[in-house]
Amino acid sequence: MSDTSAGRPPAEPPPAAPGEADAPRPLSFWDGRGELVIGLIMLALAGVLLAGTLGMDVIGEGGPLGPQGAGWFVAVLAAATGALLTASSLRRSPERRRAAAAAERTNWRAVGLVMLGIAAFSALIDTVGWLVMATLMFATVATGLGNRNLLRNLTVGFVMAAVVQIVFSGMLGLNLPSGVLGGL
Amino acid sequence: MEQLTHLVGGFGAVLTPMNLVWIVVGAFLGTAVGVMPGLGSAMAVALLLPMTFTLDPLAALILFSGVYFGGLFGDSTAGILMNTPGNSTAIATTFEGHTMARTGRAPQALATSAIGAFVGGLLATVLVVFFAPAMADLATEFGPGEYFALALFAFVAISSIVSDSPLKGVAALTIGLGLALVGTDQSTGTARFTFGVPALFDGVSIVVITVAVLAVGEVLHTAGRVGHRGAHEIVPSAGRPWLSGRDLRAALPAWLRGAGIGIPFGIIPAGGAEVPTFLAYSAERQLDRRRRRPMFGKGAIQGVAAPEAAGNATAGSAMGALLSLGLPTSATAAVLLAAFQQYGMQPGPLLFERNGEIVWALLAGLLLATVALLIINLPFAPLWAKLLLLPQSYLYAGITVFACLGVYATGASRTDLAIMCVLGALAFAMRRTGVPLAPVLIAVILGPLAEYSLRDAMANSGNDPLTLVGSPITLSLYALLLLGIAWAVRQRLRPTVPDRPAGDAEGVAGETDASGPRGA
Repeated sequence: MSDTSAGRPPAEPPPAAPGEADAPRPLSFWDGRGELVIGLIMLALAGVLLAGTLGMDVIGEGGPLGPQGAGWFVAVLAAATGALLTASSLRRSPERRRAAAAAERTNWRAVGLVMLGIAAFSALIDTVGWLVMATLMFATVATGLGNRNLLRNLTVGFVMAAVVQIVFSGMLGLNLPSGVLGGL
Repeated sequence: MEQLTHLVGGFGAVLTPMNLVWIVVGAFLGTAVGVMPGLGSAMAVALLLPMTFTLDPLAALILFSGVYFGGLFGDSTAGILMNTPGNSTAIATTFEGHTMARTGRAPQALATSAIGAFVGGLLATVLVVFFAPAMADLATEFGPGEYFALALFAFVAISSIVSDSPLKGVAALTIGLGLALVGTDQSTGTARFTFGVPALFDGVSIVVITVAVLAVGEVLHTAGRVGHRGAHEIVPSAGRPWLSGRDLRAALPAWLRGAGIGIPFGIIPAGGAEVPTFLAYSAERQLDRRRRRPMFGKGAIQGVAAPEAAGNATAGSAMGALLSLGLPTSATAAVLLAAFQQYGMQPGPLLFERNGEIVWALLAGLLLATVALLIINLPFAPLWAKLLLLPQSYLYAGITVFACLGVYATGASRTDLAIMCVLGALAFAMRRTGVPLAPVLIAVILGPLAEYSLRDAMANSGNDPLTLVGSPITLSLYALLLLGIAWAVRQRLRPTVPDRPAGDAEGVAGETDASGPRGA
């Protein structure tokens, strides 16, 4: 955050309490049922743990619990919490769902942009290189967070990526890939 | 007074120009992340972890501890001046603090909070200096059975007793335990849940998990709220931060009471300083009601003094629990434990013997850090509030860059980056649905300890399960656990809802109930 111009007005208002007035609208299936996601993730986790425990290639004799004991335990725990969370989110009354939905409104476009930036960085860092990918990621995240000045986002991102490259590659000996810029 | 000799030696080791620089840097960074809503000391330490590989262990650890304490110094500044607490640990301070600010007593509120944080941190650290070695001695008696009980106690406390929804707490705990299982089994060499991916044989790196859960998850969470916020204005803080004699007479007992409430909470895995700050706040309000002229609601100085002292006292004794028992009691302590492990040290009873010089230097560094924090916070709190004018988009974009840099730096592996993406998205889903994050970290750190202690205990006793309750220490830990559960059940069954408004300032310290706006 080396060079955020101090005089610049904040691109977005500072955080405040959620829950602005919103007109009542019909509930979609997911409204007020956010826990369903966690419930399903827990059930999936239980499945993965179960498969991994059953398919484990146990080496040697590890006592009665062995390497698999903890796997069984966590799998059961995951299945139980997953089932309970799923059930409780499906059984919730419409009023409570409406109240919960108002509190958990999400700007999916912003989340998507940020996630895209991070995923692209992770996938392409080795081939494209630090300088380009870090700049792009910075600009994507800043844009996602509501800063519409794309050129400035790219510039700030580039300066930050360059400073990091100089400090960490040059001074701390951390090897950051140069990627496509390596041949220049 | 063997401890004093050790401590003097510690001061000797820590008083080098470079170490002093690290103390000051830690104090500045900690205050900064404390001031800014959404950023917390746990995230800051997690982001610093991969970048301090090249520092010597003492320098890194005093830097981290400075950040830990600093986060609790800075968090109240934004709460007092803007009614947006920088962290969940400052919500309790905000009620009376912001009222004081609006009635023109902002400098006094800021000074009360800074001195309170100082008093709490100092008292707790001094207690740690005197009692941690004794606690470590006691803990050398610990066998696998005791460690299993301790880990179990931490799991239940963090996931169920203090969390808003035990079910969500246990879900978070389970995710952490599952992550901790990945990798090669230490006692048999069996590959567990690696699914043939060689990069997973060493397990999922703790740095990757903490950075993904705390930093990436937080950035996504903030993105999800873009456009759903209202503006807050800063109350100007004019005048000198001097407390009058009357203020001091009111604040001093409150500081001490707050510290007294906070200190025991540091050794209970209750997810950090949030619970004790609220307890200190309600205790002061109860006392206030009996006074002739109740001040609560009109800007009572006690309502600022006690929670702040409680918060930092918790951090101080949490360091004691971490150093002497190896027990992390908050998300930041869990990340600090990972930092110790990164340098090949295992916090716990043997730390004082094996790495005595570093521990005593660290404790001396903590005392210096509290003084440094008081100096940079007492007169300059209104300046720190200016940090809130930083464009948030650049702040979070910068955090993202550092998060990815940190994960890449740990192993230059795209598998790590992929895991970071998945866990970041998971942490986002958890934040949106009010699932606490601290149990994940505690489970990842203590999961292996629990598992191998249990297996060792079983192996040592010829598979006799009674060995788990075979010593006074384990028995008292389980008794304490049952008491805690009983207390939690009673709290939940009680119809009255305690006034604990929560909002979007929830940090990582195991809370996140998405209820309505906090009282303005």
